[in-house]
Amino acid sequence: MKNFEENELIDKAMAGRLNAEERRMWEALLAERPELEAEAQIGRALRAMPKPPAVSSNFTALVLQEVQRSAPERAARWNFHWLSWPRLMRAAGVAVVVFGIGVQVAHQRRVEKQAVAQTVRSFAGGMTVVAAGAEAQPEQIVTLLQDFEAIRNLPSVSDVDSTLLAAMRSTE
Amino acid sequence: MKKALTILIFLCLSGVAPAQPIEPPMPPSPIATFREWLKQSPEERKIALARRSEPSRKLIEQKLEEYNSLPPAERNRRLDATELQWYVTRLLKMPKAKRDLAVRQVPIFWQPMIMERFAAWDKISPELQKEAVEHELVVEYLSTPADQQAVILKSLSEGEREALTRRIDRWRILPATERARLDHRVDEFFKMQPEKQEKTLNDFSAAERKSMEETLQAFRNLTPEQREICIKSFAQFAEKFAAMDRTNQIAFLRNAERWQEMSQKERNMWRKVVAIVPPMPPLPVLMPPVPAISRNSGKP
Repeated sequence: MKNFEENELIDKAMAGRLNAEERRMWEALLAERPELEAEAQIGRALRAMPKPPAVSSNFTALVLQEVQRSAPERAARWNFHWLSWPRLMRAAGVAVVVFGIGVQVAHQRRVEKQAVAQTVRSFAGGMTVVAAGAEAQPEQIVTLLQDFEAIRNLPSVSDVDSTLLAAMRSTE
Repeated sequence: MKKALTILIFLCLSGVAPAQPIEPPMPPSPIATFREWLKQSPEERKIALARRSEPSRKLIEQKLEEYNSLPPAERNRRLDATELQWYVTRLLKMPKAKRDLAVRQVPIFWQPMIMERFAAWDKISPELQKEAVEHELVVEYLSTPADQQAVILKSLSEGEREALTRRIDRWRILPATERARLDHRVDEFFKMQPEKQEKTLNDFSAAERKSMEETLQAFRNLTPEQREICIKSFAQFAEKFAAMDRTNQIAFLRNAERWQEMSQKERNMWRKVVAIVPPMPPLPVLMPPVPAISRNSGKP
């Protein structure tokens, strides 16, 4: 048997399309080359498998859409999982959360109280510093605070030697 | 005779006015003279001062001695400030036209500084000028550079400086982030019930609480509107005060004491002047080369 004929026979045997004459020839060939039986079995097994589904042209997009749709469902299922806990555990959990919030609020209040206290101390201290030597009348202090630039620019001391000017004037 | 009379009448009627009196030139600055004396030998000084009265001579000799003992930089700084003030005082009382002429007779070195100061002065209304010119404070402001904090510190005794420093230290100025919420927090405190206010200050020592209470009590008696103005003014003040360095803070407290001694009229005048005339720039540090001796040659 020529190689070409032999290959054609093997293909037909794997495809299960042998007529009576060809079947006789196939059996004679198998007697000569028993290893061909394994190839024929693989062919028969593949033929027995169901056909794959037709793949859509937007296959990737459909896959991603499906993933997005299913993810929140999974998350939601997880979030409410604690509802299935025993009642005592749930109560303890809520108590811990409430206690935590309470501690945080109390801490925040204490911090704010301290901040107010420090601010008031600074306010009172500032008033005392500015108004030292003056009658501590709020109206006067306010005037003093509002005249900041006028006060800052007062030429209280300078390098001018008025005694020298007076001495020189007496000789003019 | 008739001819002579005609000429006389003609001269009278022709408007030949008598010559305009020539303004006396700007007299030389006495400080320029003093600078000359400083450079002279004792014998030359003796001759220069010979015509002075005994008390006047003694006074000047003391001053010469004092200035000779100063380091050159400080000597120059003091003489410059004194000389500039002498020119400003002279020129300040002149009408503008006359002053413009007089400024031209001032040594060239001083002219830009004087013109700069009078440019600011001329922005003030004539009415305010009339009022302000009588105040030594204004003359000092115009002739003194603003940056005089170091001089202020030097003018204080050790005790005064320490007392002012202690005063500032007593005031615990809050950091910037906390200062931003100062008005809100103080306002919140005054809106609290007395018991809650007391509770808020519980963390402080009794002495500290007592001292704070004295100040706070005065503010409790204010109306909410008055208190709001007060707190806002304080918040702004604290911001500006915190931005100053210690020397400036001390200088400010010194000025605040002086401010309280001023009359209401003086304060009003001063507020108006400062609102228009900016603080004066510092005098140039580098001095021109010393010219040959001349009474009106400006700075030696």
